[in-house]
Amino acid sequence: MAEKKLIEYVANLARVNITEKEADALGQQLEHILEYIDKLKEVNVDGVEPMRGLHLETNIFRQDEVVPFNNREDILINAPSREDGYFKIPQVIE
Amino acid sequence: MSKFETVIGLEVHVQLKTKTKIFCSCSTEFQSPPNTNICPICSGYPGVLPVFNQRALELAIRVCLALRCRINNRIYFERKNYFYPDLPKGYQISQYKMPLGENGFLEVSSGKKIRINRVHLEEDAGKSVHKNKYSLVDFNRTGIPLLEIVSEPDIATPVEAADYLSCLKMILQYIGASDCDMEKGLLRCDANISLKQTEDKVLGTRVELKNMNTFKGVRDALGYEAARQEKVLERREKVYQETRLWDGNKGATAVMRTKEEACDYRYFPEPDLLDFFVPQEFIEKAEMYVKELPLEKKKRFIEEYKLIDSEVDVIISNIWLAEFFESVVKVYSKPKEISNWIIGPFLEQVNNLASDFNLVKISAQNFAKIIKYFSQGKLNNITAKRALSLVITTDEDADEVIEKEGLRQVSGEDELSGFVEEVIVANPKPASDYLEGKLSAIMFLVGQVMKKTRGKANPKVVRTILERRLKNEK
Repeated sequence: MAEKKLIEYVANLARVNITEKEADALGQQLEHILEYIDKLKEVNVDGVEPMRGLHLETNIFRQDEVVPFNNREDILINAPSREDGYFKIPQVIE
Repeated sequence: MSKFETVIGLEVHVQLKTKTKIFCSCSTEFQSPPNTNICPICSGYPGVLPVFNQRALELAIRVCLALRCRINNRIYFERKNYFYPDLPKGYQISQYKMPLGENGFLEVSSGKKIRINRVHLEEDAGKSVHKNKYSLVDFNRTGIPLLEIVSEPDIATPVEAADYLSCLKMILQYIGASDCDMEKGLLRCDANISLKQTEDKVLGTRVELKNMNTFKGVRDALGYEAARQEKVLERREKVYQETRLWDGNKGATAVMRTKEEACDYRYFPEPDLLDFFVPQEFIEKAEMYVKELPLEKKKRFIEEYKLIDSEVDVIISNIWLAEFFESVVKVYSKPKEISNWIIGPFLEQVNNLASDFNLVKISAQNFAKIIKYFSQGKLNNITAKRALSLVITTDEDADEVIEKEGLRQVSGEDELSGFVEEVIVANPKPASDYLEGKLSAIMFLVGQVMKKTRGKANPKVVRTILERRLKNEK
């Protein structure tokens, strides 16, 4: 079943652990979803540019001025573990 | 003579010289304490929106123009998805299908043109510090604007690769786009290298090299890798497509990952940012920085002003400085004297201003005046520097400052001999040392007179008086 392979591949890319059983179940669900979405393939889109979003005639920029975020503690508080202001994480194996 | 040709392409990342990150208002200050320049946007909190830093685009345009790239008038960002602890969002905002610049070139010292494939904007990742049993992550660097500059495989030798880098660095510094300090990681370089038989049309299997942190590292790593691949090919074995890390201590490369483990980044357009069009006025504004590139300027300076290589390198290291130099030459046609003053006292004082040329207000005329008074002997080395320091950020008239501060050099023997007398009386030991043949002792006495006159005395005259006076005593 091609979808199961796909599920396992994506799970690996997303660093998500899934069991054989879960991969089977998700694979079946994905198959249904893809079938459903395949309907869209019936629409002829020859010569139609993919749309990424609105095309505004103005750019939305920010000026290069420092505005410190003064609540760094609120960010660090979510770290499972920290040391000297760093996020402390399991050893990264290169 | 090797029967193989080396083929090298470089991928350079430079940090753009902005005060803030590319998509949020956090500072880009180097070496801040860990996780101090962070906010919900750059640390990847849900529900936040990136907003593009206009300055980053302006600087990136300068680089594209300097590298003679075609600039796409509409650009957009994409997400490059991968997992690593220093990438809090799980993706890097980068450019993929529509980079800012394409199809340019960079001329290296030999005059050869190395083609540039693309120039694109992206955000930097954070920094990991690996400890023995765990790792530490700092997000200060996360979201700092980077420009990725990718060359075509036009580079033929490791030496040419190092030269490409130093020419690129010179241009980027000159146009003010990046400080390019490799030690601070402001310029990083990866390389692709392969070997092919001279008559072969297709390129050989390439190896990607990483972790070359210095120009020397780049040259040595490429030299090592070319030799390694040549040996492999001569044994009639296969070069594998892989990523290898340079180990500067061992002077060797080692496999990091092979092609089979290559990443699938699943690029897609960044939905949190709209398309951008590149405004014509940005291009016009950037064009003034690239009218004359450093190599052209260097040749002209050497010819026109009869300066030497190393002097010109300093003066053209920054476009503002190069223009200031030329405007001083216009009012005082002694390029050599001006060059000495700029490279010496002037830059020293600019350093004291944190190298911020925006703070320098002195006009060419005023600066020329000080140099001229020095060469005429109206100011000495100390007082001329003092005058410069007083007017460099204010551009107050040098004449007035010299008058007000009483800086005019005192060369009259009558005015100075009193001081000389006092110093000899107060320092009998150095005076007798000198008479006993320790000639260097006189410099101490000259120094004392300079101190007494608050630096205004003409040291040559002081020395003459001292010598005469001491010899008479004998």
